[in-house]
Amino acid sequence: MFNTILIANRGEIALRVLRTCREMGIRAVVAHSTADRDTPAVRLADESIQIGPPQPKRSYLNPAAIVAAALQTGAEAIHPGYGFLSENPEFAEICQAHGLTLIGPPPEVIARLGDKSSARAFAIEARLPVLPGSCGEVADPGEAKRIADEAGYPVVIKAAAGGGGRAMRVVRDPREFLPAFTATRREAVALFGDGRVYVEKYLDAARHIEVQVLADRHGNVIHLGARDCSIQRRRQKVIEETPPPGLPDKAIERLGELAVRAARTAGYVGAGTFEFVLDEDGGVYFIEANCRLQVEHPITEMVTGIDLVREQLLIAAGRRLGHAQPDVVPYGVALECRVNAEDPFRNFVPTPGLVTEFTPPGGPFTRVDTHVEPNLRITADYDPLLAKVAVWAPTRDEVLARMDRALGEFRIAGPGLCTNLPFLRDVLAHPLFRHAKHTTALVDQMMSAPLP
Amino acid sequence: MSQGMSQDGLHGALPPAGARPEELLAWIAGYAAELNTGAGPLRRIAITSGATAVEVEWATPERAAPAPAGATGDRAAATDPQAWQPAAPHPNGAAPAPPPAPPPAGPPAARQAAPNGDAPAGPVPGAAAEEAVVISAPMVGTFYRAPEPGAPPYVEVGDMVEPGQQIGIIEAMKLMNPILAEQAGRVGEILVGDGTPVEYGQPLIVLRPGDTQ
Repeated sequence: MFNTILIANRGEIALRVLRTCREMGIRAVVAHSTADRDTPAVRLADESIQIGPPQPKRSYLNPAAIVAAALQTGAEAIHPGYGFLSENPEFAEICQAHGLTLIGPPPEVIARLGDKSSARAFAIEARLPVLPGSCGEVADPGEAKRIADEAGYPVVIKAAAGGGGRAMRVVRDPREFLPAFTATRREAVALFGDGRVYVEKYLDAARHIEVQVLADRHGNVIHLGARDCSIQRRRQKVIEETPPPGLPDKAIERLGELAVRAARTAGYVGAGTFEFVLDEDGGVYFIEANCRLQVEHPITEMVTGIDLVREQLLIAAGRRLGHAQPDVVPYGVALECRVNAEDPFRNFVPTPGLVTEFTPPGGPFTRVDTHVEPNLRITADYDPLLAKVAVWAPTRDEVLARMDRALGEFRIAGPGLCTNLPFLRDVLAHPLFRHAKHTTALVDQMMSAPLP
Repeated sequence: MSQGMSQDGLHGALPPAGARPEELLAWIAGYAAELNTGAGPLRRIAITSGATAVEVEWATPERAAPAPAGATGDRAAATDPQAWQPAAPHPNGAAPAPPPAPPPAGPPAARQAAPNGDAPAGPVPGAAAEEAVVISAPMVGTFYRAPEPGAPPYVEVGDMVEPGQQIGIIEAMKLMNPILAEQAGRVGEILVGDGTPVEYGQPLIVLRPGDTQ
């Protein structure tokens, strides 16, 4: 096992990883920017090292600074958390070249699965169900149009290097396809410096379901059940639930088997997630893989009793999985809400500012992952996540009541600061959500036609 | 000015197949040097052979034109094979001629080499605040006071420095980055010993700009 791990991230996830390191007796070094100097993760760390100014490009996204920090502090492994460099194949290679273990899959797996169009090509090769569309990237507009016509409208044109809902266009009318194709490519070049795009069928109303997998270096792969991540705003998740409500056990088992097969085919190592969409007719399609720990991992931990960060560290150290598939017996229901500094009534724009009051909820089966404390300034340099509230209960009804109670206790205030707490409670109370009939379209439906 | 390349960017001329790492490095460095198409003297070459990433930095033309040979900022001359080798920084760095123009401000690449802009340089809080300026580490790495083991340090307490004069080196990932004074002044205090690991923004040297007698 490692003696020292460098945590190359910030916010709640730096603290989350640090806590498991401490429980395992591993020395934790926290790399931080000048903006995060006075945060709980830095204070709790065995050692901390300042790697750059607030701008992520010169700190958390700077491979040289992070590798130098790891070598300087004697770390043998780097935990990248999520976001930043966590799915960057070049960074993974640089770590490898310097004899550092990056906690995650090997660089070539990240390269293959991290890029959306090559992930799609991989899925086709691995015989996973995918939405009708191109096999990987498509460069010729005429060919793209033929693929779109064949798939049936609406279709979506997406940048291979894209993410976070940027450089993608939904086309409903065949006559609009060619201009949209050109525009998306131009946007992809502007945003990501990479004009590769691919085309696939677009589902207006779908369930977004993902499967958590664990794979060791010895060929053992298991899954830890599925999460429903259909509640999204600006194509980013805000509420996640496991098991996915209203989905038969058999369907979840099938998704689990697909994900395990995909992980095995890809040579996956570590904790990872395979994402699928489900259409209204029960059709299942692979969309992408995430080669890292997910933001919403706590809910899987709550129903399985498995500490995912601990598993990541054990796998990275070369251990065999300690659990076989039959040992994983999820129990009860867990729900997570992401509490963000943002304004739901202004298209969820982030609202940075100083936090003056911060009293998180507590109580039975209530877990709050946060790095926030009074007098912390939320800056525009980083994402506006303030806290993740996760609750567990034996049944879905109880879990919904528990989450509403917990969010009701949460006190966050500060000049100019706005949170999505009331919005989250509105979603929990929405009839479609209560009856588990919600899709990825729910937030848009709510914002365009609020309940009386 | 800086330019990054992935392996795909090196179209056409590829290194000999099966080249040993040091041959590959020499080839990449040579290739990068050829890219210097009169934009100004090369300032820095960063090479990562694992991912075959090359970063090349040129001095900004405004500064480059009048800069005399041997100016510290341009130490990593492309034709000098020692420039990108870790253990042997160029001895020219020990006795630099001060460049007439002030160091360039602004471009992010230049900040890597000289502490300017945000956090790194600033007035000393507390004692003698109005008279002292701190030169801080612009990156994580190991601070060296001298060009090589056993050589005299770049500066000692009491020395006068000119703008652009090298005051030390920070080694990060086997790259020697010159640390330059931004303004003239007398070295008041040296806060970090030779060979000490430093973090970003860590104060290295206290300079007294007013003390020019």
